[in-house]
Amino acid sequence: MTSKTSCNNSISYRKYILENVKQRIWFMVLSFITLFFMQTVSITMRIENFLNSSAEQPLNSYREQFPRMLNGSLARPFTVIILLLAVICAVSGYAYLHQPEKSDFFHGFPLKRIQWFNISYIGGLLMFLIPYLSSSLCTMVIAASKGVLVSSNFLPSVLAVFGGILGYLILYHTAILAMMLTGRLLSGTLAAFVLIVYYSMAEELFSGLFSTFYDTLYTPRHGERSLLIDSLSNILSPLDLYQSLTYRTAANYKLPLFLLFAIAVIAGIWLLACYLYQKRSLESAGNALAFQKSASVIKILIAIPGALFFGFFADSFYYNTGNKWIIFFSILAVILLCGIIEFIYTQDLRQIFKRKTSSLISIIGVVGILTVMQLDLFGYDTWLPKKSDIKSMALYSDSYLNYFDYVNNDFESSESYYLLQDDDAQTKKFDLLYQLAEEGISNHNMGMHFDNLYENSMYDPVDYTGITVRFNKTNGKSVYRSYVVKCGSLLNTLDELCQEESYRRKLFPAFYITGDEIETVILYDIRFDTPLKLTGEEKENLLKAYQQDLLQVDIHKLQEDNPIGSFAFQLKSNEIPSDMFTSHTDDYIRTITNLYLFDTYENTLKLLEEYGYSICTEINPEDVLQMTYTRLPSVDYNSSADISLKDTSSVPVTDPEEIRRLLDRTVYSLQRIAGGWNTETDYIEVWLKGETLSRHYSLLPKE
Amino acid sequence: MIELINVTKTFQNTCAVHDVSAVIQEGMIFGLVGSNGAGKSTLLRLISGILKPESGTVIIDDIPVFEQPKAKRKLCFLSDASTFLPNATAESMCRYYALNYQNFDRTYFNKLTEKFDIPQNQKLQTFSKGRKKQITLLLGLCAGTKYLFCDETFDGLDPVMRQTFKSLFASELMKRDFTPIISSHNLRELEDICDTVGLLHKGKLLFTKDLDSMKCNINKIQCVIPDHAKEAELLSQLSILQYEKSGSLLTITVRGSRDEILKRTMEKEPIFAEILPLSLEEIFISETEVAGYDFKDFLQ
Repeated sequence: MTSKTSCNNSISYRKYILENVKQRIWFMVLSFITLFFMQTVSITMRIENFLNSSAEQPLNSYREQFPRMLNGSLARPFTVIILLLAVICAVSGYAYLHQPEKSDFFHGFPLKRIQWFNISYIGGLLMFLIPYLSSSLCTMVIAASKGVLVSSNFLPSVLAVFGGILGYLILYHTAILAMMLTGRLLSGTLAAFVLIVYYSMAEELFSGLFSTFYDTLYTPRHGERSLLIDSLSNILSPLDLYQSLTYRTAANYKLPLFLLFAIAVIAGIWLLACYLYQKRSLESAGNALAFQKSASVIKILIAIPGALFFGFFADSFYYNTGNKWIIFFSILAVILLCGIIEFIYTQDLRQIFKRKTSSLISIIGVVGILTVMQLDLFGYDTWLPKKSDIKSMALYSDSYLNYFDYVNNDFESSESYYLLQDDDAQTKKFDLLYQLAEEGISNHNMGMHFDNLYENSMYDPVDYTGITVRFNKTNGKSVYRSYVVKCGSLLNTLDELCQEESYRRKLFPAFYITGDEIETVILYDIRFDTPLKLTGEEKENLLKAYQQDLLQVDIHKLQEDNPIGSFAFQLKSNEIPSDMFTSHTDDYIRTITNLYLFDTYENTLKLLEEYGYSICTEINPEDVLQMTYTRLPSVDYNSSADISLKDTSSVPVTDPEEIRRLLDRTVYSLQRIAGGWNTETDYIEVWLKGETLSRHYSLLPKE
Repeated sequence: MIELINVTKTFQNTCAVHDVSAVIQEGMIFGLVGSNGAGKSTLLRLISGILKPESGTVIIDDIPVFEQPKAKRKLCFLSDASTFLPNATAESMCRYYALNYQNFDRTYFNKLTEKFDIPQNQKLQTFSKGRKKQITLLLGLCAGTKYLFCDETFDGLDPVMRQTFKSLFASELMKRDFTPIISSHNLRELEDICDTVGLLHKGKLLFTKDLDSMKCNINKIQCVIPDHAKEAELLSQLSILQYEKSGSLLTITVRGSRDEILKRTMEKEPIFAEILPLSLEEIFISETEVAGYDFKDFLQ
């Protein structure tokens, strides 16, 4: 008897779900069409394009990327589509809760609330899953027929689809939760988007606030975030969790525990939504919020970050006029926002000053946050740990940005990445580095920071450079700060750090290259760009010689002398750039440039000579066909006074003597390892005999 | 039997139903009367298990109704707004009601829609308001539930249709165990269909009474008594609810049986005396005034 009843119940359940699907069949059609175009058609086109344009060699790499293409972790538009589908599905599924008549209609029938919840939930889920799985299957069949999906990437692809489904679930559940919390369709839809992006937006906002108000702030990249922050971000930000799910399942990156965690979060949101459905009063249909008691809390949670965001936005609109305006706009915005939120709640202009306490808390919150930041009440910018609390330190200078070209084909790896993150770059002999940090704080206290480095007339910007310091504390935490310091101080510190061979190996990009990956070597000097015709062994020997010179060079030499030339190494790459949609297939050959050469690099120069190459260190005036001279108005070198020019104008130089004098002031490069040379100097444009294109040379100041 | 025990429901700061206790017996048509905002719809939604009372309980055949499908299977709620599924037709609504109510009589529904000339496959959203009401009522009637709650469902029907549905209700009452509860702010609509009427005012149920006994106990008499002394004597002898004198014509609403009132009037040797029919509205005026309310507050 019991089994018969349960059988009947399950049949009815099926019928109810079927009815639900019938009522919203348009959503299923919408899902089919969008997913078919965004997934199947789009990926097929990309595969066709790839097969038609690329060589056979990177196919394996392309196959590795296929799972990420499949679940859209590489494509932002796909994420947007999934987000929209999840919100539409949840809103259409529970819209009846926001319409008093429909709510009465459904709840008048002999079903429990939990059953209604489940019917809409399962109906909505099926209407996404069927199109999604069909589209994924279709894509996989096409990819298999084109040879992109093979046995080696089949399981990762299936896992990626599974990750896509979990990702959808997190967004779908969040949107359902928003529908449970609200009583009007518009507020429900808005709440869904707010809940999905709230944490990500708030994180971005506060990161923006910090970088605006704190001059010494350095934000580690995503890969450097702590596990706690990562977990918190995943719990509080459905969008982050969605992206992590699709990325990690496609890349099979630290999965089992993360999947359990994601499933727990998904289940948690589902349970909360389910609970709220049973607790919400049906008469809340038509009100902005289903739970009136939450009105004040929600108001505060929206008004504070909203006002700060508006402050930023308005300030940027008025050309970033400064912190004072951010404060003004934020306070104005919080008052407006409190009124607007109350109007949304009550739909009555006379009620916009209702719930005065929450309005007051919001205003105090905004003023408090801005006061703390503006006055740096917690001493963020002047913070310096005790030496005894530091285990090791690391250093990165902004001057490296132009001086070095690191092997960098991963978006998480920037120039600063190696030097701040790698174990070999962490030094335990940090006395000078500590002093450098102290100098940075002292400079900050004098009003010197990176943003106003070139605006402040109190000091010569050419003498200063920006640095980032990492403090590895004995308690295991790492703290980063950015300072402005004198180039000389940086150079002394670098000199000390480079006493250790391991540090040099981390500092110079040449040590990231292995001999067997070199495709071509190009030699640049003041006159010629010469691709070197070398055998594999010769290339390897040249690299070794160059590395040897780098290990021996006096760091002061790199600052005080001008390079006489440089190498560019073209490397064969086994990896596809992570952002496949913006990279051309040519990017599979990576080029490392700015490997500077100095006249003291005996090993390298000797080997070059042995291979039949020499470095030209000056331009013969007789080789010059034509020359123009350009003076930059910001640079006030006395040398320009003897040439009568109008500011910023380019004038032709025809006098042989003048040509000779200008060529004497020409060097291959003005770049310095510790910064300090203003590269925005007067320059000449030269047309040389036998060359079709002109060359530009920066000029040294006249002695 | 439906029992309401101290049922209270508040919407934000407004008390829609306040401490209502009542018993609605089976096998009769119960009318729920009250002005707009009196709490009729809220009370019906509470009885239907749609809303959860803040305090008190609604019990249907010994089962609390809220979140109890077993109890809710015995009732069908028809709201004042005819609500259907998106893009529904009469046929699809019939199927949906059959899914919800095991005793839904599809044959009867098809027969009635044919009689009412309602196309089975035309989208209901294209129908007029009255036509939608007809379908709603037909669905409710054919649901086969013991209790049918109609929240102002008769509003919007033309007089012919109203009579037709009253006949259908009567016919259902004859055929099976059926107890319709009809709410309306219009007393005249309920007058000739309800057996018992409850009056709701500002969330409070003032009384529930059997209409026949109410009609028997209150009468209106019109008479002309030439002797002023006898006229005054008559007025003092009767339990007067309302009194009006136009010239020498007396019109009085009196509590008591028709025969007794007529006998006392005739004793005063009137030139003319006649018992007039009383409308439900007039009865209510009298009853509510007795209860200490001014009936003008109740009806708009």
